[in-house]
Amino acid sequence: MLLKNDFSLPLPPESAFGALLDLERVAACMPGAQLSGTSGDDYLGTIQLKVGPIKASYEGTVRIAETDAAGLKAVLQATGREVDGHGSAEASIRAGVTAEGNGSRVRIETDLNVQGRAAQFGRGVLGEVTQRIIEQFAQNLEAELLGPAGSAAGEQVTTAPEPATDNGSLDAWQVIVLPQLKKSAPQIAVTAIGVLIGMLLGRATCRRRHGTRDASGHGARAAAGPDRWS
Amino acid sequence: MVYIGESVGRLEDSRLLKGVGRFVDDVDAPGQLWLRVVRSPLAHARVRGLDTARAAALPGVTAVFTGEDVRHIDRIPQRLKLTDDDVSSSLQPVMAQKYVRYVGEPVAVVIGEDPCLVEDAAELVDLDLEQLPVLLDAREATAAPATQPDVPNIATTLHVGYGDVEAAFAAADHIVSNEFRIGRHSGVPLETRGVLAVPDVGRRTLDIWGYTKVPHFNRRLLAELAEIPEVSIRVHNVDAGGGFGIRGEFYPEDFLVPFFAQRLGRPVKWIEDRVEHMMSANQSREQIYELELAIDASGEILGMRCEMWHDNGAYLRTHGVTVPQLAATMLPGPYRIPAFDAHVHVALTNKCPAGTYRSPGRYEGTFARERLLDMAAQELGMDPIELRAINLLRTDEMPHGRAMSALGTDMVLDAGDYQGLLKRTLEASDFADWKRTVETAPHDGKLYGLGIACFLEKSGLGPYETAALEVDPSGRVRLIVGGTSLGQGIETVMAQVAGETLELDLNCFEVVHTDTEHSRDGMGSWASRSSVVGGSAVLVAAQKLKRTITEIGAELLRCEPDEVEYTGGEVHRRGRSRKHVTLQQIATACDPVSSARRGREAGLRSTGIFEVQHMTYPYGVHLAMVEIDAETGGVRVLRYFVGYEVGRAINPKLVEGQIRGGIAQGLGGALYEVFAYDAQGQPLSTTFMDYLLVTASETPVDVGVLITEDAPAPDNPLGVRGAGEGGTTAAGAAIANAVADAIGRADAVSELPVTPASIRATLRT
Repeated sequence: MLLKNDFSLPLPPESAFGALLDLERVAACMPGAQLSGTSGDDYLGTIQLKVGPIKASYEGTVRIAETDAAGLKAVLQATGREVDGHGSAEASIRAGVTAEGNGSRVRIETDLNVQGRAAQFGRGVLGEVTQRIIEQFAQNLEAELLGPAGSAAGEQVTTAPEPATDNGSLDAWQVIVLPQLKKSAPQIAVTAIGVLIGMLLGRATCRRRHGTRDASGHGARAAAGPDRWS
Repeated sequence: MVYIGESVGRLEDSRLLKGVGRFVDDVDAPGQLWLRVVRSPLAHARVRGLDTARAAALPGVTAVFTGEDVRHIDRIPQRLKLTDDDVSSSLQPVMAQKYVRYVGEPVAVVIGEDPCLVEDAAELVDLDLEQLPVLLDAREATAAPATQPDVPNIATTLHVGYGDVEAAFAAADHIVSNEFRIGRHSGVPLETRGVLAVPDVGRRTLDIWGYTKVPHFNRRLLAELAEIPEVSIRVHNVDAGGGFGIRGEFYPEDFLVPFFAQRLGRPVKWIEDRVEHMMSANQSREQIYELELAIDASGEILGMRCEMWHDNGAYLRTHGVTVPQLAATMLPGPYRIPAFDAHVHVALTNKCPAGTYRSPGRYEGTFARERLLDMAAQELGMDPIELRAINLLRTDEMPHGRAMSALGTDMVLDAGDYQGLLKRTLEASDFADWKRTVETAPHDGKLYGLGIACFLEKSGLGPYETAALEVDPSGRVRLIVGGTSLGQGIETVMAQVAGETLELDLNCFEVVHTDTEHSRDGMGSWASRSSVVGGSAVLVAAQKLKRTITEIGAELLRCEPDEVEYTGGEVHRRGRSRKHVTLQQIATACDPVSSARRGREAGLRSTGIFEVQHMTYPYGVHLAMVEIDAETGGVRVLRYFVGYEVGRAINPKLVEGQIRGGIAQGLGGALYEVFAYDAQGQPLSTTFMDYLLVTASETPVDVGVLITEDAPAPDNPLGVRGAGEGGTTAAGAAIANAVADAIGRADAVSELPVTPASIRATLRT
């Protein structure tokens, strides 16, 4: 599954690119996620997701695989595994920054490969869940970077706030509208890992413009258009 | 007393409708443990290691076993060996060893006190898997490098045919060809699989509940694989909530449960959950055809040529190459095709292994052939019905031999009036009215179309079946049959055959099957064989018992057998004396001492065996009327009709039930059901949210069935032909033809299932 997102940042491209690679700070914006340390080049993280009465935990690592400082591009590799279970997720994230007016535009392509029970449950649900989690993450990131003063860059976040639980993780139970389906818990959590990994890059003032998926995904929205970074 | 040909109520129903049937999950053993299978989450991987420590440490877990524990066990062999090629490297091990080849493949089992506990514990088994590239397309498999050192991409290739195909195509006025694809779907029985194995440590025996379909074969296989004397294993009877070809075959779990029960010396039970079922029970149907017809100017078929890619999933299971072989050999169908050639690639991919599903090979091939005939009719400017009529075999061409072997038997189409059935079906359905209805339908955003498909079925595979009868002094008659119940009503039909012969009320009979203690041998129920071969064995046994009863009755009446008459279980002395003995008196007089005095074995019983060399070939016609919503691409089947020749219907209501149920399953494959996989080989249809099983809402209300008995089968004494599959066979073809007709282009459909998306795409081009 190919996830594509892009954001405007009120920072010069070089600064934006540098900020993108500061993984530790953006992790906190991911619902239910924490970076727990490093091991060599790997950042270690966990993500816990609460889906109604069910909690699912995943462990993952993320690593900056390639950086092209001159070209303002980077590739990250990430993996995650279900703590109790056989689910897993891998992501290859390609990020690039270009100048846009006085600021920058960040484009991220996440090639997300989910395996195990999560991938097998519910065609179409995975993409839907992913989209919702991105929206939640974008809001958190904006709040983190801009503080209560809000929209310094002059754009409005258009998504409605997502219901959150007391520990800050996304309560996908309410979001995903499949409360009867117990098995969806790991799915949502695995998706969240992929999203975490993808969105770890999206630091600074995030203005989500497009959230698109490739055409094979169910319910894909309109493509990002000619400015799509590749 | 007439029972054969009567729609008597099912004997099974008195228990099933009262809720006192016994299915495998109804059976529990004192002290039983539960087994949970740890399944591969990846479609193709090298197994680097398994860590079972966390699972084993969970309180209540008795044991965790891995592939290492069954490394010495042979792979599961083919039940039907239809190829001489060595396919041993394509067979499935009882548990994964170095590699896993599909999502759902067993890699370990956890056994413990409680079903929920072992499910949790299974998730704690740590799998260290190295992901490998996956192969998901049968056609790509022929050219792709081998994905694994020990297992070929192409398990084997089959080549069947007869006549001079090159000459036929050289002489053709028209050559019509197309590629056809059939989606992966399967029988999805209401009851999932399950096994309970109870070892008796002291007596060194093993009792098993849950084997169905082919219990004797499965017992023999377990005995061989686990090195247990066959006689020490007893399979018990259970009811079965559906079979359809897939349920009851010997799967890895059918070995793992009894094997580890034996090892632990404790009863072990496993009941498959639905998600497991959707990723590990046999799937079916997925084939690609390149099909060509050579036709002369008058519309007569000169030859047929086919290259086919059969996607058998990760392994060859017990069916071996049954499905692709039947697809190829049955492809000419009921038509006069002087030259035929089929080349089949049996591919292994990283999906759930495939096996037979109701009308295996024929559903697929009938779709391809009947679609191509409609395309040919359009090219020739002929009416599709007329094109079929002139090519159907005539009565003066029967019996019609084809120089091929199907399921190991020489192919001889035994008898039949194919053209006559087409005519009768069109009349009985009032097809002229269907045409009027479609032509006069309002153009309100809807498209209407009609589809027709003719087909040939096969049934009654031998080589033999057995039956036995025993009369109790109470007058109760135990009828032991070698066939098994899949929910099809076998107990009723077998009792009808025995009841008519012995002139006894059906309630006198207790029909026993699937119990190896009573039924020492049997071939099981599959290939629409039970009425044909099993029914004939019952007839033989009942005729023998009738003779025995008559002889013993005469002995008791102190006269010669030709001086008595058998009537309704009683034996009467002819003439004026009116002396007679009842069945109870005769059975009572068969005690050991009295029998010995008369120089007979004790007991009142008989056995029968029926052997047959050839299959018998039923045939039929399907008609469909569909409505397409041009906006959404949605298809509704408005009318459906099946004409089917069964030789002789022992119970017409049950035949009709078979056909109606078969239509629903055929409709599923035509429009709804598909096991989808993502690019990594992850199964995406693991619940009924995504696997669209046909419900009453999708099943057409207006379904007509014409059962004909015009061509009794010459090779069995009852004259019956199998009735289990003809409702399914041509459903994909007829519905697809109707959809193409509604769209107005014969080439509009070349893939099943026909989805709203594909219809919308076609309507836009």
